[in-house]
Amino acid sequence: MSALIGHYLDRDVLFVRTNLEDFENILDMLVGAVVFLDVTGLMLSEIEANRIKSQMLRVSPLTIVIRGDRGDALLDTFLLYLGKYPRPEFIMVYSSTYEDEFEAIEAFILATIPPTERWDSWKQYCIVAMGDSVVANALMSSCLRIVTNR
Amino acid sequence: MRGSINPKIYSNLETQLAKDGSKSIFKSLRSAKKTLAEHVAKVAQYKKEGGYTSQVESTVQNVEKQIRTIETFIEDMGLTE
Repeated sequence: MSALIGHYLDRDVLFVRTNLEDFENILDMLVGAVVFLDVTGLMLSEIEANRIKSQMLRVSPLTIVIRGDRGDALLDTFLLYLGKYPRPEFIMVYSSTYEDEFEAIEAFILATIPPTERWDSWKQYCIVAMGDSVVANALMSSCLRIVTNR
Repeated sequence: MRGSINPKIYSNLETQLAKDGSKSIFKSLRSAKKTLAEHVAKVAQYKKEGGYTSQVESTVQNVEKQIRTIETFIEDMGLTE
């Protein structure tokens, strides 16, 4: 499921609900995007974390913000790989440690930027909820509140 | 100091201020500082573990520039919380 929630500062804000199996099908939406990836509740194996990393790097999002109770392991997967194999197009990757969904989305929308040299490629914000469905619903409603100005 | 700001972020902040007000600018600053602190800790962790730090260091540089730009913007506009 994907939906255009609205716009923030002239950029599209997309919300995508997916899972590990269908993740491949949403990759096009990550092109030219700063991405919020929520994996709350997912028990990702090393193989699954590596698969997500490889799939995402294939479309070179501008920035990836990872959130989830096991998000730190996925973050390390990205950071250590990109440290070892730097890419010509720099991708910023960091974590969101806000427990509250509204605060997490607000911080994402208000403070996430692409790397300086890739600014002109920035077309959209993309929130991808892969984990817990209650969390996904909270992220979606937070997104709506923020984009439609509360 | 002014030369080290990012004009594209600055321009974005102007639009953000007009749309969401000064409170949102301070929220952006706090979030960027939080990200920076977490990444600085990652650099230290990876160095200690003998891992590759170039990726994290480049992100730190980007976020530091973002913070400098937001702080300059706040000062230029005379914003207060």
